[in-house]
Amino acid sequence: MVKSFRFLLSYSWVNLGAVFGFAAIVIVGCYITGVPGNPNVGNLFETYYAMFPTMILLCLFLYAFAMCTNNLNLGLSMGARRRDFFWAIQGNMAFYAVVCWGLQLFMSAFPALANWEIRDKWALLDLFDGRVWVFPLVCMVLMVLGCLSGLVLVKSKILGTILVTISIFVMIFVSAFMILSADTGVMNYLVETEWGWLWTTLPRIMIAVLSAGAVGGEFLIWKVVQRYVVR
Amino acid sequence: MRGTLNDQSLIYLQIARMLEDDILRGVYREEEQVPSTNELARGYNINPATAAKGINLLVADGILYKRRGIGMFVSKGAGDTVKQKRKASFYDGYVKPLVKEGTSLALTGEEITAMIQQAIGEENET
Amino acid sequence: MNAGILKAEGLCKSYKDKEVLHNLDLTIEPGKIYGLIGRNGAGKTTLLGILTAQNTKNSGSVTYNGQPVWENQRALNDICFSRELQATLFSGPNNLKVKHYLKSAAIYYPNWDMDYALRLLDEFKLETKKKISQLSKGQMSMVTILIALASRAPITILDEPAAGLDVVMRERFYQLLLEDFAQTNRTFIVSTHIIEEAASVFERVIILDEGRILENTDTEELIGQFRYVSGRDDVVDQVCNGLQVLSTHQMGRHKTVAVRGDMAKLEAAREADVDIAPMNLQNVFVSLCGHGDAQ
Repeated sequence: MVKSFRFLLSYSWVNLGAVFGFAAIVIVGCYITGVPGNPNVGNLFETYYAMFPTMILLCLFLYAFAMCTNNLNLGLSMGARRRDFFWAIQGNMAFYAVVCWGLQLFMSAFPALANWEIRDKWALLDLFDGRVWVFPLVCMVLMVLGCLSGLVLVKSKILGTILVTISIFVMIFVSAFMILSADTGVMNYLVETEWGWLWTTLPRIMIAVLSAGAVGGEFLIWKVVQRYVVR
Repeated sequence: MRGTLNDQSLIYLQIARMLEDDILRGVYREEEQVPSTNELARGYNINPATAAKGINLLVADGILYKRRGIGMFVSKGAGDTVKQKRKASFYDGYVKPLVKEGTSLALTGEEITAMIQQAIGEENET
Repeated sequence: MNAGILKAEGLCKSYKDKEVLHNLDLTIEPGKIYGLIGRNGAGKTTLLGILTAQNTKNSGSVTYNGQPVWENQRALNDICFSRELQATLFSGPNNLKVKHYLKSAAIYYPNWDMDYALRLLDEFKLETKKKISQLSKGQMSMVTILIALASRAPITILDEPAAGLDVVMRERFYQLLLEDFAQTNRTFIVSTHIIEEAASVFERVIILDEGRILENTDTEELIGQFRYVSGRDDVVDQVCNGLQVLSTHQMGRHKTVAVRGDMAKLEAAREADVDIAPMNLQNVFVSLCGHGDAQ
């Protein structure tokens, strides 16, 4: 297991470096374009900063996809055991989730720490209205989806494409939810409607669904990796 | 190096034959060491097991012997042994095909014998 | 090198409805160089994949030292299956750099010899910074060979290692293989299309035809059983009575047949007015696996 973990790690830290690099560029870009000082400036960097959690999710999806296609194939071709590789994937996903969680917490806290002007639009950064632990869960879910998408796409283009589409929807849904849960104005309105009860329980439903999806997805990943044929 | 092997007979037989030829030509004299299995394998780009088969053939015929830890050596009287061996197969290997070919060309026994005498004469002159 | 015995018994594999391997039995004895030859589609790569637990089987068993190979770390540690590299992987170009490929090999193969790998890199003039998709076919073959040799695995399998190489590099490959074998005496299985060149390197040859093993014997012993007999058709027919005839070629009254039989019968055939010529491994292979395709 250690061998496969080290093998995947050699890609993981490079990928994470890219994410960190991206974060650094966004921050520097914000400074250069005067974002911190002026709450009304709206440019590329401002958008990327605001959408950073979604960017992370997208990156993690892609990294997991690669882990379960190219890297899986290479590892198994060099004599890795399937169960070892499965657990190495888990370990790396956990690693990704923890590191990205930390990065996002930093990105969320940074504007305040650096005395940037407050912006309402940056709701995403509130990370589910303070339920910060939901973020790593969402990261894991997207990575599980990424893995599955990769594994399935190799076997069946149709099913694979469906999975990728589902993943995109999940990403959008989660992002939308992050915005909604932070934007109290809209939330208050929604709570007062007929479906008010839905909106208050939606977080819990979402978390339950995502967790179930993650666990189910892991079972599928295990099964597919066990039967995987090296090319 | 591979070029000296052909596909007219099995490789190990060719290896054995080449070593025998070398012994007759004095390339390897009595009590001298012959190339090892690995050297032969490397030289002719063949599997060591094949080279070993060729050498073992000569060991079985008493032409080579093994000195433990050192290698393969030419036995005493190996030259004579090789000649004896070749004499024994001379009839089947050369004489019979010659006669067969000759008769298929409708040459008479006397004509064939005369040609043989002529060839012997030419050989003695060189 | 202490390799164990790799054994397949009753191996069956089907893709969808088509049976690709039929009840196959194979034992690989340690310390020999095996040649695995077969036509395209005979099932060579599938067989090798199953032997190394990289492909799944429908029934039968593959064991190493008596233990199943599947998910068996001890077995997998002793085996290296070096496949042909591809320029494209899944949906995109193979952007893996050579040096990263080597680093991965160093992680996975317990007996990996980095010095040897570097020497081979040098000899093959391969640039480590290049991506696999940027390599020529010949260079990709060289990487395959490099990984296989430097893995120092007790059982090393090469799938079409000579495919992209020119004749000079192929000769060098056989040389390197034999040098390594002389030093380490490890087990090699080389699957190849280029039969005749490699024949002198293989101690044993495995002929795979349409998912069945036709032969698994000492190379020279196999070749020794075959001859071409040619001459006038009635004489040839008489001589070949009692011998297994594999193929026939006739031009007018001149007939050439490929026969298989024991040495004694073939020696007796020399008496008749026919030409008897030996067959090389390639000839043997074509006569066994040609199946009456264009003669």
